[in-house]
Amino acid sequence: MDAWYFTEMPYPHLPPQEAYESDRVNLSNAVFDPEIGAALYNRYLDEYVIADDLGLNSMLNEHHQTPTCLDAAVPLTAAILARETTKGRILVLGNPVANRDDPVRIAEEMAMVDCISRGRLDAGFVRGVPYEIFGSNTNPSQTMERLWDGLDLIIKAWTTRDGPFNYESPHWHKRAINIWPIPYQEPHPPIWTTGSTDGPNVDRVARRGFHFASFLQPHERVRVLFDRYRAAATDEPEAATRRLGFMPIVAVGENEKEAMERAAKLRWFIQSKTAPQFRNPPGYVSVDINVRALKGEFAGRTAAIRQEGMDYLIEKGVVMAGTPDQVIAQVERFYQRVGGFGHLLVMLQAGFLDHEETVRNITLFAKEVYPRIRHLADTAKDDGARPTARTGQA
Amino acid sequence: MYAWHFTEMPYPGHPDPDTVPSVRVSLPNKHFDPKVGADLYNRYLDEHMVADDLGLNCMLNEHHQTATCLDVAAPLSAAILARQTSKARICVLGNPMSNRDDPVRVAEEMAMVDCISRGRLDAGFVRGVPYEVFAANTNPTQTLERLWEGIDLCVKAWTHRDGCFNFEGKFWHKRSVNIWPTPYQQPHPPVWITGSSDKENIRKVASRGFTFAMFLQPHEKVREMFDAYREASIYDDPEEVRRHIAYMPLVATGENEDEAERLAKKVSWYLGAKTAPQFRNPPGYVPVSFNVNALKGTYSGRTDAVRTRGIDYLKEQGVLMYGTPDQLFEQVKTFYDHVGGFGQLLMMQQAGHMTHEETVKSMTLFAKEVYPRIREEFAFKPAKKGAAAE
Repeated sequence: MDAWYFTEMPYPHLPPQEAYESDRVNLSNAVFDPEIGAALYNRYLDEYVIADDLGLNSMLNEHHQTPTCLDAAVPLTAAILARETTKGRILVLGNPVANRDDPVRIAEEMAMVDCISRGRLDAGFVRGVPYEIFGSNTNPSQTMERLWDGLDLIIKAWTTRDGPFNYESPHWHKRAINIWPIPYQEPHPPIWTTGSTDGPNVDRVARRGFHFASFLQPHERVRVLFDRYRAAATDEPEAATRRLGFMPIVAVGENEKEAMERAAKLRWFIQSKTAPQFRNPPGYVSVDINVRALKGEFAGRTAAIRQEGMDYLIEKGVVMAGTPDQVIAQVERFYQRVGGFGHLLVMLQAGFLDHEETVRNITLFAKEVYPRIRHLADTAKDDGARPTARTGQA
Repeated sequence: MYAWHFTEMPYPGHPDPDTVPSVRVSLPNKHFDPKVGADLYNRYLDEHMVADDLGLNCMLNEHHQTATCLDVAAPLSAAILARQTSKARICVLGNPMSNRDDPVRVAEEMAMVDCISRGRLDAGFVRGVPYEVFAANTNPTQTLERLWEGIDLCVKAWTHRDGCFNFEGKFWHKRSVNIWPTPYQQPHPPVWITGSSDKENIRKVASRGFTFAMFLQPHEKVREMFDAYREASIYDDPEEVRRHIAYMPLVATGENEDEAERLAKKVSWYLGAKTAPQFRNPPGYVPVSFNVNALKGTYSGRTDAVRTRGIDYLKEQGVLMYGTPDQLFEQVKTFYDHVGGFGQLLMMQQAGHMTHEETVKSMTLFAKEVYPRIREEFAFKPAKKGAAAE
């Protein structure tokens, strides 16, 4: 099992939540104080460097127009970690391809990060969350198509070696593409993508052999998604399982009390609010999923995650919290319940968890938990199958 | 006057230029060895850190599909320098706005770099060089319009503070824009723009109060353009005008004349990089009148002269400044007088096969022996009362 440190780089210094409509999209940036923002960026980056020192990998993401995530351009932070970390892999999960207007630029950015880090990049691609449709002014009914179209163009740009090619597709028309630099890893960095409800899309990810990750979902739902991935993968279930990733919120304490205080602070992330009009833009999910939602199939799930107590969240695996022994037991239980997975993406920082507490959380996880869950999935077995540096140096 | 270290981050190991039609656009990327590239990226970034330690500022640019410039995403290298330098200002010159498809993203990227660096960003915007029109698949007749519309959208995104706004332009249609983060500098980082011969555009740059930069042009031409800028500047105080004018020569500083000449030849590698004819002047990139003048021979030989006439000619023109510290100081002074003054010296101190040791030695000599004298000789006088604020 590989573990990846993660924070969404929040800006938690906000007015009382009752005083505004939505954390996302339309909370005026007048609330953002650049002096505090500058300190937060540098603090979060320092914490990644510490996580790397402690033997963890790094995961980064990006979102737009929201104080829950100051990382509005993940290739920039990935470039910084490419220079400032030395051991861990760097996972970008992900580039919002559907809302970025030029996949060739993403191919260039990722190739540059892969070179600067000497082949330590895992490159993830996402369609972008529903509320990002508004600021990017994209067509919600087309984002899935754009994700896959863009991904094909990126892979072609990464792997074409014999001079310029043209690309004609529904969403992009390109001429004379011949990117410099190309990725460090041959033929290209490992590819990841995410999902939560769309079954056919999981099949597609599995058939292409890409990594698949699910974030902050109850174990029953994760089991359905992971089983679907394993069934659609073209290789053995054991090998497919090692390409699966899950992200819980994780709080490790010296004792239960410390851990629970920490977990309560981290829970800030799932309590952020999005105004109703930004949650489900027409066409973002399929008609079928909207019909099932109207019939009540998903009723209460999201609300439960937001409102139920810590016991519920821990039972579902959305939060893993406790002493090192307790967290290990929770990881093991989740592993059994979902049929196994290879990558634990750990949100160890959120909200008001300050630098000292975050470093403590990272350190306890890295020293007391990680060594004792590594055996769960033999991800080292994939080292030969991973894209490798062309000089033979991993 | 302020000085800025610059390298285009070249990959000089490409095949013998005589054996390929172009090092730009079409040179297959199989000639790029990622192991060599990885070392070069890290070395060039190290050299920027050395420049910062020496008290120089840092300038970055980006180009695409060319062995002359590995920095294909200047916001990434700027983000790295925002973390890894501590004193220098960081000038991105520039973001190729016309070929970037989303100015709001550029605004977000620059705001992030400005925050991470705690307000050390100078944000430049360019239309993109002619050969980049091909892979970007943009319309060469529209790149200048796109540049200005993109800047308007970017500046609006940086400065809008009351929630979401909509933007209806000719090229961009945006809804609900309300970027997080905003820039660290208020109201926004200084804006820079480049130019070479389009006076109408230079007047536009001047009328907006932006900094204007010219690269590697003979001094007569630079004088003509700087004069056009000065006439149209919104600043009343001549010192403020001068502060907003920048020039880039190739620079090689040596302990003695022989060493300087050897480095000068190496750094001139940049001028010899070859672009196939079909990529040089896509139809519509320059106005019809320019093409008419070109056909009449107005510009004939200037570019060729810069490429082929040797380092003495380049030195005389101010395209290349090289010599001992004393000689270099004199050349900057001569150029300054020729062009009517300027405030920012952008120095391409690394190009081609110049090694790390050679580059560090040249920039150290410049920073220690030349820069203090330049700063003193061309110091900005305190702004007079009533001058427009920056």
